[in-house]
Amino acid sequence: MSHDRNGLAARVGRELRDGEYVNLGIGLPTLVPAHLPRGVHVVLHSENGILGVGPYPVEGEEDADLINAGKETVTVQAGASFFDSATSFGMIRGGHIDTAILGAMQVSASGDLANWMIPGKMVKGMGGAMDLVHGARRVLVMMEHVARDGSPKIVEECTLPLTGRAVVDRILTDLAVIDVTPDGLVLAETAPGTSVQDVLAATGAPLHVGPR
Amino acid sequence: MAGRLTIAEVEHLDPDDVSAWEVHTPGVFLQLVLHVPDTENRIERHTTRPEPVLAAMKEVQT
Repeated sequence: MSHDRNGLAARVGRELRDGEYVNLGIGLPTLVPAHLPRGVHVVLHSENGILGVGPYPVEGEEDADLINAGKETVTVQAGASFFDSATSFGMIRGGHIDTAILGAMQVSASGDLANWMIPGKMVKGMGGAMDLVHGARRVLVMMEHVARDGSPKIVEECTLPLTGRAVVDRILTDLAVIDVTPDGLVLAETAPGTSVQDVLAATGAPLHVGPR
Repeated sequence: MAGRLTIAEVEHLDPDDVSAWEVHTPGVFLQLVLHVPDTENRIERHTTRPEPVLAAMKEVQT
């Protein structure tokens, strides 16, 4: 047993506080806004130049000119704004984004993040991730605990090209919540029905299991 | 702004001037304008949410 995708999204949603400015990576993180706790409203930033991203449009309301950084059709909330890339990355590099929630292919024991390319595979680039991991005040990784082939994605050292070094604050997966601390990875929480042993078996790096 | 040659691809070519309040890029930066009135604006990732009423009906049925 573990979190399903929506359960994980709800768990990640509990990390966010009302009024935060949040940037979401493509994939799993896009599920979070639909699972925020009651009373929590965040302002979503998309690095292509939107502050105040709304939900996906209903069928027939799509606007080809209104898309997020993942090129998905979106809508905007009341009070939203559009701006150019210089302003958008000024928000990120200037430390105005409270939380970035990103997917990952690998995270290392020291918080290195690899989430943009697999050598030999065609990629379009890392987008805003390289800036977000250094500019956002808190970097959360939201991902499946292990790769599709079952191999660990939380590893001692990343083997894939890095997006950033020592940038991840907290890892939230279908199995566990893990903090990246100066003393290494610390298990903060296991998913419902998941044992500490399950998490240790699926993790490819030393994991401190604190007093519970 | 840094380019020696900048070409603007525009959908609507306004015979009158664009209001100064609406200008994002002043003409000084442009060398060429390409008017493409009937360009197809394609969507790369089509993402939608269910129509609220339809979703509610579906929920009642299940």
